[in-house]
Amino acid sequence: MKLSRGQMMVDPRAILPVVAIAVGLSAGALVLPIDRRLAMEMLLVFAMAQGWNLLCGYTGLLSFGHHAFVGLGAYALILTVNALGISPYLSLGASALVCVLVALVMVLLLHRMRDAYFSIGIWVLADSLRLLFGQWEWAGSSRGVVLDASAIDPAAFADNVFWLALALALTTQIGTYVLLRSRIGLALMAIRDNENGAASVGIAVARNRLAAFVISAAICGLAGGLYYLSVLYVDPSGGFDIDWQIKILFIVMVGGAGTLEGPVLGTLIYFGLRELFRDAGDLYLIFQGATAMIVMLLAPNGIWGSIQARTNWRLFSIRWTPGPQKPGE
Amino acid sequence: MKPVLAVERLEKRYGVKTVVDQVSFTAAAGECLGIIGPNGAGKTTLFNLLDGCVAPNAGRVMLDDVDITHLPQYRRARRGIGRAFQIPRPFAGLTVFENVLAGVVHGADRSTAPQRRAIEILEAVGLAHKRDLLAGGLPLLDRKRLELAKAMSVGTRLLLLDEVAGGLTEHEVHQLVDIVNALKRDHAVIWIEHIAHALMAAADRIMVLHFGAKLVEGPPADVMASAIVQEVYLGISVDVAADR
Repeated sequence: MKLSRGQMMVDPRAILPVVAIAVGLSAGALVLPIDRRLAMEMLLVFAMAQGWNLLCGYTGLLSFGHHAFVGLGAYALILTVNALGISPYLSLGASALVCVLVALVMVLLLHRMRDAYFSIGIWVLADSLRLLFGQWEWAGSSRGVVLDASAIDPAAFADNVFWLALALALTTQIGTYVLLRSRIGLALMAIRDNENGAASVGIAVARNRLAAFVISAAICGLAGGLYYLSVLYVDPSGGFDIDWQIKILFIVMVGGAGTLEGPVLGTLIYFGLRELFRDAGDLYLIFQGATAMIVMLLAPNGIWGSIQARTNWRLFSIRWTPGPQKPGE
Repeated sequence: MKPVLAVERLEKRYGVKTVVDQVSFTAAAGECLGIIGPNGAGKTTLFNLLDGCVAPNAGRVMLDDVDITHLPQYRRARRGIGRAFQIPRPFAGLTVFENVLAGVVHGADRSTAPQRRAIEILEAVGLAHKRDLLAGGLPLLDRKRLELAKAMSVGTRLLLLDEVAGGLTEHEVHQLVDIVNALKRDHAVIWIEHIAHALMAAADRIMVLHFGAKLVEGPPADVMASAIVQEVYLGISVDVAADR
């Protein structure tokens, strides 16, 4: 079914993805010669945060266990490259696939849990995976696995990983935008706001929620796979480090959950703080915590959430409007 | 006339307590069936069984000659059952327009222009001018209107209205009765209501539930006048109870 969007000749919002691609690519080309590593990490963490935001901010499931997918994506990629000798770029498919499959198994275990029970349940599963990989001899147990260096072409490798990270970030942003503007987006937000009310207007709650969970898992898996591809090595305490989840949580909460702009802003703030206090050691963690607390007190909906509430600015608007109001209304 | 909804010996038990006890009735398009009964009579539970929130222990629910007893809630909604809950369930983060559109695009009638349909519904309940406001910020009366609009967004065959007149002013009750009278032309409407004169003005039949069982069913005036109904309301006349 195709929905028409109002009577406007050209919907200015429709060109936004194109603008985002153009800005992203030119920013990428500018950053590329300078500090690729940091830019790449920012793009990947942003993608994770936006994927998580789809689940938490738009579907209403607060996951504390998405680091599971970062680690799984990394292991899936490195192990398939080492075992099958295929190109690491193709192995990204394995990262996504493994995360989708594990997400489906998790749903079987967690599908009756809501709110804090879900959050803690998935956290336990993520930590169980860390312990499992720590015991798994073939996957290097607690020592981790090193990527078979013969699988990569060192000359172009760093550039390729960077452009893939940029592609993932852009695809995530535009994909979420398109998804949320569709009928499915309406369903997800209805489920977030009132699960029973959503079912009563014909929305398949379980199926839509599952879709959001699987998509967010796949995005985190791809980002995790790319990140650990760039460092050529993964171990359980790094790949399944809850610090990934904390980063995501900080970025989305500070930026604004349930907004598409929030994670962009949050990522800039997170890395800005980190670079600013790079030499300050543990002091940095104190500043990070303080920032999170201050933002939550002053702007419970995140910084972009507050800006949006006051100004009604939306760079990526997913609001449905029935077109121009008729005269006399 | 062929009934839209046919309920056969529907039963729901919680432990040893039978909340809905062997209830059978029908509702056809073009009529409004009123349901009254004291608190705890099982009225809302009956609605839960009809819209699929809750599974019955026995009995059948037929919609347009199809057995929907075991269909999940969202599939029943897609077959054209719309429900206005007693406590409104708005999608707080969505606009009034999106609240209604969500039902239109997921419900039974997806062929027509969905946005126009959503606006029509909002105009019918008098919310069209507030369509761009967030549903979470609406005052109670508008939430009640929105709840009715959401029921209409999917309820192309059957509308279940659970105390939609509660808390409205006299004037608003009259407006609501007009809306229901317009709706029942092409829908089957079942309306649970404590405000007796509103129900009398819209219902073609009234069914009285008491301890989960059907006590009487018949034309509104006869039912309201019957001694047994007066007694169920513990000797308080229905009109006195409603006028409080």
